[in-house]
Amino acid sequence: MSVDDPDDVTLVRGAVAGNETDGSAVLSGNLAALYERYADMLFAFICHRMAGERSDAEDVFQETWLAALKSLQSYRGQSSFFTWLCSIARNKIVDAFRRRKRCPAQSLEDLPEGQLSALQESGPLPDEILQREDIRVRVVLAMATLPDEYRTALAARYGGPCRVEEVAQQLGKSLKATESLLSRARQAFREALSRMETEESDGQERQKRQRTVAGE
Amino acid sequence: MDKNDKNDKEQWRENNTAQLIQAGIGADARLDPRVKERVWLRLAAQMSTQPAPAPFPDFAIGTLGVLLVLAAVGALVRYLGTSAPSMLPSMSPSLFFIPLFFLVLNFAMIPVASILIVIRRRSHV
Repeated sequence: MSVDDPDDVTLVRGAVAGNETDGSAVLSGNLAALYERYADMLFAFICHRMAGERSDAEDVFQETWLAALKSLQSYRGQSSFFTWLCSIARNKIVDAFRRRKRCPAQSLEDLPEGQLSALQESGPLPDEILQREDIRVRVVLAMATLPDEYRTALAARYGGPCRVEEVAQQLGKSLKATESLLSRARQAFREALSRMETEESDGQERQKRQRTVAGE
Repeated sequence: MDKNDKNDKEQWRENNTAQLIQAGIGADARLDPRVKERVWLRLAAQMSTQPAPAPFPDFAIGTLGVLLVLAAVGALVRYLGTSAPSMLPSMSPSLFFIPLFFLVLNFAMIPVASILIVIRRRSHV
């Protein structure tokens, strides 16, 4: 999201208000913006959570968006829109696994030894870490918190993958400006990842304390 | 830490960040543009058939609020008008308790109505 782009809450409120006043064009326009912003990230999230089962992931992806449209008015902006979408997707994934009588992928609590952001600086990341579903999900969640401009640049460079020259062409920027943008985007990504880990470890710490207080 | 170590660390970080991003949003997890388009069309179709939610009855809630206030004021007036004579030994005690009962009832309705308003507001953005 750049400075000029409306935030998620504004888009959702506009869409809901448009729906109520029969302004389906507003609903459609705002939802299109949200869809464009999060569709790829949501699919990646679902895909990793479903251990790469693409056809099932596509079904869940569609079910998630339809459910989100249905309950759009219940989104209050207490969490980010993507987090809200992910919570709907999680339920849909559980339903899909229940239908197939399989278990969902591992939860985020199963961390590799040490923090991921710290591991990044200590040497090359082992392949088994990169293969882990929870790590991939975490990357997607961190990516979703980035501004649109950073996310687009990183997705083009590494998701493509494209050379920097191609990314520059896609973004309509000079090579130097694109390199600088990518550098800032990588930095923002690392910060987002590290912020997420801090929040997770704080949450785990809080849960531990609550269990201790409860005398478990 | 010497300069070489610092450069190595920086290089690892850059490479690992790139690898992580690739693992997260690489080809394995990339949304097929045709699927993206198909789901959007399905959403658009859903939008055109989805009925607009009923508008929240602000007027009805306002009227209910005004009625409650009027009822409370009415009960208070009745109470004030009847309580003084009822204190006299010659008056029946029911003259005191009946308006008091209605007054309490009216005040009890206020939190109930407030809760109802909040619940309806929450289920309607």
